[in-house]
Amino acid sequence: MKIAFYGQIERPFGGPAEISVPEEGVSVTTLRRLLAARYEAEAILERTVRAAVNDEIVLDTHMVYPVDTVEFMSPVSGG
Amino acid sequence: MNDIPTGAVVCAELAFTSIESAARLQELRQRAMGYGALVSFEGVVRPVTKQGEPLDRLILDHHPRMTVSSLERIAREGAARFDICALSVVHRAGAMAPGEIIVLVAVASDHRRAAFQCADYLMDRLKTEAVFWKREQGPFGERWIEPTQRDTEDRERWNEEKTGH
Repeated sequence: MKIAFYGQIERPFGGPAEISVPEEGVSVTTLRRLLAARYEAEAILERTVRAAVNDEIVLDTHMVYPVDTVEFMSPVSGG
Repeated sequence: MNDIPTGAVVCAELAFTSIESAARLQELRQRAMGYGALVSFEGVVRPVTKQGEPLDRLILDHHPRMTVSSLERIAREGAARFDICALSVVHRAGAMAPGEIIVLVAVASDHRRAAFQCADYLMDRLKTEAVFWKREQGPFGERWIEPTQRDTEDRERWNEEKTGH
């Protein structure tokens, strides 16, 4: 699964991340831990970094499957 | 542009080139039938950072789908909350120089109070909920800008206040 990052959180990853997710899925919390370990990017564990699955912001209990589009985002700011 | 149940005409747009505010306001005047007040706000790139350093560029990154839908949602909810005739939200993405318009909000209504309040409400929501990520560049290098506690407090006051009709 390819994971995109938006905002400041992209920096420790240096671009989209690639990670394997089992067919039975993993929670967003688990996915954060996998990414943090693989990329040495502790920042992904911060609660201010939100997860979006298929263009919807989700809670950390949300299950992620290989077919999903998963993105992590730093706090947004327009205007 | 969407018609919503209140009858207000709503326009929300993501722009990748300079916002021509005079032309945008003229479009709004033509769409807003029978209005008696028009309030507009421009957010503009400042020439210096909060730390007082000169700014070369402000860059707004956006999401390919969620940014436009966030602008549309905020605009629709503003039109539903206040007694207005029409509103327009135009927001830039990409790299901007000092002096360029980042966002234009314009609201036409029967009476001034609703137009002022709706424009204020739209800006407070855009500052905290519009899906953009800002970074500034200058002699200091590059720095990300995240919403402030003040932005969050400004947004939260609308949870308590009554609507302006």
